[in-house]
Amino acid sequence: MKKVIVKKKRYVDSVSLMSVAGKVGEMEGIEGIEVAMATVINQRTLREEGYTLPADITVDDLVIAVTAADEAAIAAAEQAAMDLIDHKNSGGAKEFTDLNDPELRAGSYDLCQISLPGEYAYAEARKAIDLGLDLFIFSDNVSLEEERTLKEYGRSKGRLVMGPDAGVGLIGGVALAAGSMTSFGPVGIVGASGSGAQEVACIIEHRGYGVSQIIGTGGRDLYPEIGGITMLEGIERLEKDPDSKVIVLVSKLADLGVMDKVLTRADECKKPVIAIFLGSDETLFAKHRVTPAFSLEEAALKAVELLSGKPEKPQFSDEEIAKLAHDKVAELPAERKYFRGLYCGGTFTEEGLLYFGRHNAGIELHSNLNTKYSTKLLDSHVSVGHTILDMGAEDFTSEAPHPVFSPELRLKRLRQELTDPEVAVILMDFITGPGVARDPITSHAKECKKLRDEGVPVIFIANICGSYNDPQNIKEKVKLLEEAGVIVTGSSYESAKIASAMMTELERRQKNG
Amino acid sequence: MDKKPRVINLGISSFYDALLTQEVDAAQIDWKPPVKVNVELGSKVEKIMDSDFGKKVESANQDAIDMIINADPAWVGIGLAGDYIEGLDDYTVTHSGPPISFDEMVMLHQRGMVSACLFEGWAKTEEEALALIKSGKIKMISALDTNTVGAGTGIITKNVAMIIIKDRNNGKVAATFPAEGIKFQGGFCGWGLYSPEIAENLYHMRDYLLPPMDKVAKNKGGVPIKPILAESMQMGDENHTRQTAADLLFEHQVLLDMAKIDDMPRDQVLASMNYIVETPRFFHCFGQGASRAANLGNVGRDYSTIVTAVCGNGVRFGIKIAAMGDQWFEAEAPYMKGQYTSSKFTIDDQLPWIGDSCVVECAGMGGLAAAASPICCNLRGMTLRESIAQTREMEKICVGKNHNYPIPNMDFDFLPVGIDMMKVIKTGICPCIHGGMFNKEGGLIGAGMARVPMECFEKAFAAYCEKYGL
Repeated sequence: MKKVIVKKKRYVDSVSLMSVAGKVGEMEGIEGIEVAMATVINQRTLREEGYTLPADITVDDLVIAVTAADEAAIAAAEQAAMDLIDHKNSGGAKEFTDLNDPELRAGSYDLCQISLPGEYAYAEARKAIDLGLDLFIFSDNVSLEEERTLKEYGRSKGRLVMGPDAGVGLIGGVALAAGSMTSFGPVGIVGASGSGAQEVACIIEHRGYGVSQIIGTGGRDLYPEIGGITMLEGIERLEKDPDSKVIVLVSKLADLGVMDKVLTRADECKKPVIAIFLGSDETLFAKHRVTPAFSLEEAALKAVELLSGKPEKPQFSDEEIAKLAHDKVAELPAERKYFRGLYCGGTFTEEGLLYFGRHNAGIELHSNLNTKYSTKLLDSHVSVGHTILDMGAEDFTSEAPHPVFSPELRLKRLRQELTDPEVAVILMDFITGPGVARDPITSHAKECKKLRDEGVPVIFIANICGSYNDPQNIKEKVKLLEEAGVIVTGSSYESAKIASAMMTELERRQKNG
Repeated sequence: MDKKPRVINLGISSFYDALLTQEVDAAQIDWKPPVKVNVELGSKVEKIMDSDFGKKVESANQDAIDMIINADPAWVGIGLAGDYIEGLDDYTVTHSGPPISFDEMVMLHQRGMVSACLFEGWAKTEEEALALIKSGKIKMISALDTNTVGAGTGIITKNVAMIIIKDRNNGKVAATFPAEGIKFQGGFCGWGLYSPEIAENLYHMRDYLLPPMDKVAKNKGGVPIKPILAESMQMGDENHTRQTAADLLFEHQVLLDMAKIDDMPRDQVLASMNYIVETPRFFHCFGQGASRAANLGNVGRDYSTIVTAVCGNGVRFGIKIAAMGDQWFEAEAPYMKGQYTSSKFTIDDQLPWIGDSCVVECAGMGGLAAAASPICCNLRGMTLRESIAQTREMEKICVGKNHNYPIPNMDFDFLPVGIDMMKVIKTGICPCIHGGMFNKEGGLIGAGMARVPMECFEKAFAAYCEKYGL
């Protein structure tokens, strides 16, 4: 639909207006937008573009002409355009071109967040340490040697170096990079896996507790070359932090020697420590005092149990899952036989694959990742049988922005999967926070709803890794997904459990013909 | 809980927005990758400039910028292109950018060539025009190989009425085409379009709208251009993409005198005045003419390494260096980055750089004068600080400063002038040029900025070294 909004006698310089339409045009649901003074030429252009202008329009009026899907999108566009014109969002913006700007040096900042291309991150990070700043480095493609030098240099100067390749952090109540605005509380987290740490933090929040800090170490901190410098520093900081009562360490399975070093340090900690090294077994913890966990959900629930003194249960019991899987699969026609996991969180993909590998032995799984549980897809763009995709992996992100920051990539894949008549179950994870996609969920929910309205039988499973405080308003989004017929679980682990049970049902049905 | 940290965000701007959402005391660094310098060429430049030869270069470059600083351009009248543009004879057409064959030309230029044949009556139909062009009878010359400026497509033939600018300091004359009014805007010369109406409008301009202007210019003994440029630079113009203030100052100079004309029909004078007032960016062609005339005084200046021409033809981009006369040094034409006039346009609609209007950068305006016009830079999302930073960066590749242009935003420091090939190579900083974005189909679809490709300078430097045996 097209709509013309006129602001009578509102003058804005035409040059200032040029950038407004460009910015608002990128919003979801906007097909076209012009923001212009109603000059004679502009009036003509607008009419040519099919807009109907009010009869009393004059050259002194400002026009916002929008083509969009619905009234809500038009209202949002008007709001966004007027905010830009009125400089609502730029109040007090401080923008500089160089870290060495004298005003910045004098500004006594505490932390520097770096997301430059990897090749440039090191030099700027050195500068930041010299300026006395703690560091959070989101950039990847920093060499291991540079990472070690930075972390050692930071340690010698008493500065915390989070990352490189740190996705999530929460320091002094401030969510960094792709992190969620988790409520404040007594659990301190050190995470070598960003989405893993965030999952633990958000489950804790959803159970009524909160998080004091999330110290992201970057994915390679537990490599032998780095030796866990930041994780050890993180334990040290949380041990001293009076707000942190319980500490959770989150990592994927890493170098045995380094994990042992970290656990030994944790053994000496004055506070209770829970640790998960995703993919490990009990033997890793045999000689240590820390409380082991084997799923992200378990790590979170154990932390809550320590605080509340009461047992915590997952959202779905095993019996409920078995029944759900049986009933839902029974409703599907026989030609629908495959599971498709469309993940955007790398850790969640691995957690899923790990679970399926252990619980669906004998079923062939395909993935774009190289794991011992799956066959590598010849072409990541084409699913085969049961397929589990990490859509944040480079074979996808080399073509389009990471799905955590822009939903388009996965939305496209979802649509592609939905044209496959053999698809039975689709799993999706969603990640929210102030630094990621403004709304990663609605567009996917709409696709699910559309399918349901058309009577196409596909089972959807989803979980949202996010805080109730995030700007995406996840409580509302859970409702939206449920209204679209999606099974919304309490965690990525639970999604995997349900998907796994459904895969088992699907295979059983196949065998029984 | 620990106090909220104050955060500097270096990189992705949405992370900065996320910090602002959380009401964090945050600063954003608009970081740019460090400039890549060709170390080998850079050290060669240093060696040359440290030698006795370097002193000759410095002295020649000082003379060259004095030619621009001391320029005294005046609008002296209106005249036919054929009478003022050197070499613009019958069957001759100018185009913008470095020389290019008809077959290589982008559609806009090819269409412009056909339009030229139809306008001048050398052909009756498009087919005839194409046959004529293919026969080799039409001579196609680069506007910047003569004393005009090919803004946009730069299609000019002898019967187009032109603005005549004379630099009373160096005696050079440049002719530039005036905008074709509010209805046709770029029309024939700028966009290479032809229709009977467009031709009619060109004749109407020549015979009806422009003569009262010519009379005023002559009555006044020439209208000085420099005061308008200087004053408008203090009023928010950079005189390439924006000349809002210059338009008004120019009108202030001429309208009263036009009103006093008593030996021409009243309607004609009023129509002429109306044409001046309602045509957007009317003064642009005067600024281009003034810049071109000053730079003509530097073409062929021995030893001088300043840039006298910067332009594109939609395919290739070319520069000229003072000491190298009319020799072109070319690279692939860059795409401009900036803002489209409508959200319906994308890079797929956009033509790589076309047009000669960067003559104003060669005279120390436009991209070099960003600090004077934060409003112009704002369309690329730039702040005042970034606009000033752009000019400060350009200082590093210029010979000196132009005391005619003290800029309030720089605490009245002067704008840089004279882009120096030697400094460009030594610093790795390529000149910023402002301009209008062209649609592949013709017409202006936005405005923005590009950088002159380094390849042009490296080629020029090689040729310069060969010429002087360096």
